[in-house]
Amino acid sequence: MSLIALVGLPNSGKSSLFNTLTNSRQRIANFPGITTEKKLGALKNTKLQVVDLPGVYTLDAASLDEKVTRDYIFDKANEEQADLFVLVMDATNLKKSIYLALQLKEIGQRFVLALNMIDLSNKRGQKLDLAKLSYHLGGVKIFPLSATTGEGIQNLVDSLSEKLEDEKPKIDVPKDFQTQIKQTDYVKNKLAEVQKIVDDITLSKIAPDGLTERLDKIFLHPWLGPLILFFTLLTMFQLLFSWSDPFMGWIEFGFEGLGNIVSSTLPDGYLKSLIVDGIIAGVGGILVFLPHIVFLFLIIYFLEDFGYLGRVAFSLDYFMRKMGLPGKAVVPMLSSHACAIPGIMSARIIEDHRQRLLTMLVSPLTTCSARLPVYTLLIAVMIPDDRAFGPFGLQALTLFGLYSLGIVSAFAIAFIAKKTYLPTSPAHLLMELPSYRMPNVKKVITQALMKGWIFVKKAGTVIFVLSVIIWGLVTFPGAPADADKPAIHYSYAAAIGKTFEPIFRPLGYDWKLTTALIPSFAAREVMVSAMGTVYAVDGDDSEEEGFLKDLSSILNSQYSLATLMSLLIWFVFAPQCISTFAVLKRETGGYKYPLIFMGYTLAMAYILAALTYLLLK
Amino acid sequence: MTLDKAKKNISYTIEALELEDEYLQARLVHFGFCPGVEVRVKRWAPIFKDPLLVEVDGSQIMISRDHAKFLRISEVSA
Repeated sequence: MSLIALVGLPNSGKSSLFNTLTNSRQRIANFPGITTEKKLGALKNTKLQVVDLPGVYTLDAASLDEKVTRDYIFDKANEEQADLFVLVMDATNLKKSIYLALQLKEIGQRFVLALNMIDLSNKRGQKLDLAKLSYHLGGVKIFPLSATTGEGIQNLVDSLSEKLEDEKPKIDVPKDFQTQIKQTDYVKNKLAEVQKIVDDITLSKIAPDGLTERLDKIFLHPWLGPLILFFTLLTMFQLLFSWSDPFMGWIEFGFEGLGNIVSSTLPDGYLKSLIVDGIIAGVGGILVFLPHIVFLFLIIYFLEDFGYLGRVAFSLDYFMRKMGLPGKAVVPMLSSHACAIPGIMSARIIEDHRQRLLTMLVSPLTTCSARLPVYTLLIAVMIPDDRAFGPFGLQALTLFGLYSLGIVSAFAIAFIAKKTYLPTSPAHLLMELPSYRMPNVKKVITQALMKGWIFVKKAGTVIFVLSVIIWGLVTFPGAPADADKPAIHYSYAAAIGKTFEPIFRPLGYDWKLTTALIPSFAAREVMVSAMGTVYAVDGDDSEEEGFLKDLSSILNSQYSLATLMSLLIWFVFAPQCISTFAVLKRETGGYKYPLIFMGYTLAMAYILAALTYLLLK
Repeated sequence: MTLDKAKKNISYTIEALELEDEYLQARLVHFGFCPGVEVRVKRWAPIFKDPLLVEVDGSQIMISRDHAKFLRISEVSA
């Protein structure tokens, strides 16, 4: 089996090329440092394996993700050796790629060159003498291509399949190579060499990136820029509500119909109850939020692909540094808005160990998509949907507020930790700002739909199982013959809920809310389906108006504003996700930091929720 | 004068890198901050004017003010 490794600068389009070569759908953004782990795939229609490596500028690896790549390039990766490297080069930004190519040549590594974004380079009038470029780099094959349009890809694929027949030469890394390439003189000489090469191969110079210039005049304007950032986010939440609403209605309608059909065909009994109250209320109750998830990712990916993320990093860097977080932390912090797992993993791009720890400990506080169903439900219960300020509905504003609360508390905790427990060295920013690109609509939609599919799969597996378990707990052992309350009062769930109720009473939760809260420690969104099941079995046979409306009106009639607000605050902070714990353990190499994370978030959730309840009671 | 004091959209030449830290020096050089190279501050981040967005050698580099202080520059005479 032969292995081909993709290397290149951060944001040079390796992942795009990888996806095209292997027909996979890896996550891509227009921002350096999105790929932090190597990814494997099979080259289209062949047995060749392709590995996509994190981006590097040079071989003196400073961060964890760069070390992965360096080990491959030195043929020292634990698992396997690459038989051939494909150096992915952004044709619109040659110099630093040529620098890396010279290093590969220096140690004698075998590689070919994928000259990516050739369409953009052509558009900006650049003409290169590729024969000369090949000569300077030791006679490498060069493939001009565009991973986005697919132009030139086939040539590379064809060539990759032939090239690998012969034996790979052994590489020769000088002993002190690692220290040598950090010397200023080495870098200076290499840069001079690069300059000579660029001058020699350039037939017609690339025109300045006019679009980026013009857009940055607006988006990075001293006061207009932050204003636009603010309104972009506000608009995002408004769109989230207004776009999702009709779809949500259809899904609800579908499950309601399904419930009615089952109800009318099956005889009364456990089976009917399991399907209607357990599975349809549980799984359906969570699937209703599919449109929210898809639209959230659609908007995030669109902004990312466009190149807006880099501008956010630039604008927020000062604040982040004051909080002890390095500029690069913007990647994990923003990724965590999708899900804390990729967020925590992307902290690998941060070189400084303490800064990385700090970033991993606070980024899960930002609002992940699993919180969205809970927030949406509670907002629907508390906030009337007909109140608005201009174009922005009060519900959207509240959601915006909750997201802001997540970010602000992440910053605040980082600041406190920096001052006390985890003093970090001063953080700095030294990073290239990517150009704007026309978002690839097809790619953005595919990636958002993929996230939606993952959500559906989770609903069909984890949440399905939990719903059945919860249903079992609320249904059995059943009411005694002389029961004077609804059956749920005599269930195992009630017993559990009532046992833990004293703990949650200061927060304003009764045993029913407590019952729903306990399983949601496994995954936050289970709260919604658990409530669905608990109140469905509770047997309030009111008008069936659709799952959400029913649940909303039950919550509205049974609980005070204080309780609901306290529940909302609880969900902002509480560490309710087993996967986050597991990934923290893996990334920090022990139980210490995951436990610290659990401890502080739990304490915050409890104290702040209790305070909220006290103040509003 | 150092880069953090540079005016917007005026070309300067880097004279020297004035810092002890070898590693950081190499990193700065690697991003193009090399003696003899022309640089131009294109903009600052809002409010605190930190970090700076600098055009170096055709690419746009974000650099924090603390780092910019290490770069001694002189104005390019027109």
